[in-house]
Amino acid sequence: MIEEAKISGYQLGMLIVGFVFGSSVILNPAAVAYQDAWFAQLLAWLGGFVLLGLYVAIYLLSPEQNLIETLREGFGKYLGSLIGLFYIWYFIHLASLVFRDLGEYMMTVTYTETPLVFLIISFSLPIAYLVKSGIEAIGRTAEITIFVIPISVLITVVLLIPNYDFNSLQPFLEEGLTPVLEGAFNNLSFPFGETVIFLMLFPALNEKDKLIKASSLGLFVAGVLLITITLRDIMVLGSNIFRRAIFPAHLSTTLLPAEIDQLIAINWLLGSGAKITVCIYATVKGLAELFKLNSYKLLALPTVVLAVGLSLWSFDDLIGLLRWSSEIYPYYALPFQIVIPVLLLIILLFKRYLR
Amino acid sequence: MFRKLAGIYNYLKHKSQDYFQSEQPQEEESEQEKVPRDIQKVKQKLAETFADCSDFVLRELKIGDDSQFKVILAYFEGLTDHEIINNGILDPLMIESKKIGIDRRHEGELIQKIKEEIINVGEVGEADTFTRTVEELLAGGTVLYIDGQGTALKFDTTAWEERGVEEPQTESIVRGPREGFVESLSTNISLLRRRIKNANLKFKVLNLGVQTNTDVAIGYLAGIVNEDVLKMVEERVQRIKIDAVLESGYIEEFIEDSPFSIFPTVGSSERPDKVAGKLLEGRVAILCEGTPFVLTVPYLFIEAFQSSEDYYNRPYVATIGRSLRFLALIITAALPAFYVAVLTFHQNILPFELLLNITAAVEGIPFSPFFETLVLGTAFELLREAGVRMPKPIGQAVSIVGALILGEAAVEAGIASHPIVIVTAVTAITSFILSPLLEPLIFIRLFLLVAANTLGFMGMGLVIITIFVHLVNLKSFGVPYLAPFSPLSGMDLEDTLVRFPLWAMLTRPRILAWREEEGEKYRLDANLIKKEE
Amino acid sequence: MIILLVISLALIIAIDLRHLLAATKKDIFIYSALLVAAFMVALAQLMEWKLLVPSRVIESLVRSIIGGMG
Repeated sequence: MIEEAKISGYQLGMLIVGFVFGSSVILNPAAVAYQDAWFAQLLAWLGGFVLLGLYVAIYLLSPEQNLIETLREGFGKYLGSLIGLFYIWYFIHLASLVFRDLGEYMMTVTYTETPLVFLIISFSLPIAYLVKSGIEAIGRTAEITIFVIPISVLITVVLLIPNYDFNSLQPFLEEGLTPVLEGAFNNLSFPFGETVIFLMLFPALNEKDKLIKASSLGLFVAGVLLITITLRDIMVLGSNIFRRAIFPAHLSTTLLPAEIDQLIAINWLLGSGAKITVCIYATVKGLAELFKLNSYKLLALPTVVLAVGLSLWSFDDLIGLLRWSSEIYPYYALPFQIVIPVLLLIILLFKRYLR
Repeated sequence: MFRKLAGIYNYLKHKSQDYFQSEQPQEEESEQEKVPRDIQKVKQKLAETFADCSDFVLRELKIGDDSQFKVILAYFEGLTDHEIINNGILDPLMIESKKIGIDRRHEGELIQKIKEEIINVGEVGEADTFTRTVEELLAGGTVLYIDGQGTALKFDTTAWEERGVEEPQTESIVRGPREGFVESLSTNISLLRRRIKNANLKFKVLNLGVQTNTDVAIGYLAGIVNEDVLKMVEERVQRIKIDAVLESGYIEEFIEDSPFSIFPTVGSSERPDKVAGKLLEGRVAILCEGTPFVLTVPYLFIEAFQSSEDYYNRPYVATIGRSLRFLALIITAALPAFYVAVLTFHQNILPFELLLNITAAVEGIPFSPFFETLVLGTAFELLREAGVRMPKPIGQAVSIVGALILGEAAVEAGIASHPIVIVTAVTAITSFILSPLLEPLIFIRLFLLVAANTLGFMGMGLVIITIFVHLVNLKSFGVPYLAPFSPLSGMDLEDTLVRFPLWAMLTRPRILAWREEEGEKYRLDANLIKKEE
Repeated sequence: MIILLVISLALIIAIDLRHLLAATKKDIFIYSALLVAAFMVALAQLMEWKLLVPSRVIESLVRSIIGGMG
């Protein structure tokens, strides 16, 4: 299938910002480290750069190929396709997890009387439309919507200045490095390692020379935003409440003057929307690649429906989701985010240079 | 009904490229017959063709030294200028021809002689097919059929009653030219030609409408216009098969990129200065006989916010105007929905005192905020429609009755609450700021209202994103509708939210200059469009 | 509820009909496979079948592997 070069470097960067910011700001995965969460996040962020470098290196070693094609090249036709199928499962499962995160968040915070099904289905409609419109529309929609995220984060950070308590950040490394590393590990797998999905999007970039710049800048901006929010939340809430709150970022925005937190929620909507859109796109693109179909657009709608179904079916309630996300997800994501890419890189390097 | 659907399906199918290539060869030539040599036959044919046309005038004359040549002079009363016909054609034919001394010897060169020595009318031409002479007659020309020649002479004598050039009603400005287009195609062309005194300003005239034979001119500035866009316009306009073209709106509907979208992808204006400006940016204008509204393509979303006055005022004023228009867009699209969302889901976003006041006002109203907004919005649309349709003096009375009396009475009677009236009024006033988007905004307002009533702010956000996705999908003649915001085109931002000083606008809109053959459509070499020093 | 499900499936097919008519057999096969999967998942959710819930399967897998490693 010939990939049309459709999205610009700026659009790719914006997609990465939205993707990484995505649902990880709703649930702060580094919160296990209490007041050192920002430090854990910083470590994860640095690890994120390493991982993104790994993915970019894979792409640069097999240019113009998406993940599935590269896997086939690296692991052979059958094993590669099988691993590709697992990746596709991972992508759609990720989409369903984000759907559930967003739905639970909205249901808990604002729409307490609206059924979860209804909320999730309403998110899914614009996303289905967007994916059906193709990668060009995805990039351009990101271009005109995602910039709202940094602006509103800035607004909340500035407006919350009176609530800051710098003492909350101390003592530094009270419990030693263990909780920090645990938080960093959680945070690396969610959201930084998830950028493996962009291996499906890199071939769509039309400004090849900007790949490294765009992706690293996107990750940089997203990391800065996440760490700023974590710092803000710790300073506003204090480390104990920060740890115990289910949605710490939301809790601190409720302290805003005039209670504009419900407007700020548009932010989470945009970020999660970007993340789900990228996941669904990667799924349909991967399926189309795997089965050598003519167009991926046709598959958009059933894939979205499947993701919605999975998101509802997978967990009984918010508590189950949270427990699963923090205990199981990092290990579940490990092979997809680190093990297979590292293997792939080694094989590719071997094929390119040692033979 | 199924035939209707089949028609729609065929139209959409034929929008694809290959349709008009297969249709190109036309069978017109064979149909046309020569002008008969025998003058009696001509007379008979004319009488047949124009039977029951009371405004058709047919004069039989005899010219030459001793009146040896029979000729027929034909024209339509009311489409032609009597002065010209009397002084420029009839007089010379009947008097000069005798003085010059035309006789049998000159029979071979008779047409040349008449053309060059006798007639004193500006535009003279020859027509050798009968159909051509009929077309000429219908367009206001005068045709001279000469016995035994087989070729007719046509003179341009067009002159009919038309409205003078006045200030346009639809797009009024404070500073700037007061002229507006009129119904006559030639006057409109002259209005543009007077502003752009440049041989590169071209107008290609086509004939559209099987029954009406309306003249349509495609205007562009050669050298600046994007050839691909021009080709696309020509192809699409030529493809039109319709009985009548009474207004440029008929053309608009056929050449639109996405006929089902609520957003207009073809612009129209009544102002020559505006159209001239668009031509100079590299756009294509489509002028249509019989209407003062000139179409311009490609039409982008941002053009709804641009007024020709922006360029006549100093940049600060223009920039404020632009920002106000963007604000107006947000208010008019989202205010009613915002109000409903706040009252239904997000009460605590309001300051406490305001919330108390609003709750007090809403108390005792039997309807939900959503229903109230819907009803008042509909009432406003009705009033607006009434104001447009009614004779002007009554229209004003209607708006006073509607706005003051109805609104106040509704509140007094406890049918509507004060805040709703305010919201509807503000929405209505701001909606007129963006007149090109008036129609799409009605729909957007409604979508947002329904979404706000169902899911509050989140519903509104979802609808807004959906609208963005739709806008991103739209193209107008190959140019992305949301350009220069998306795809971002840095240089073109000089004329968007901020209007840069004219001396700082270094390039023409780059986005209009896309080229088909380039793989990367919207990245161009700047030299192509850099203004000449 | 099942009626609602069927109606929404029909709606989805109706939306995609234009593309489906132009699609190849393989396209349609994958498309319908996805739809069937979605339908099954939705049905499982409605009937509260929790046996094969992916998150639980993954959880037991992960636990057994971590446990196996010690």
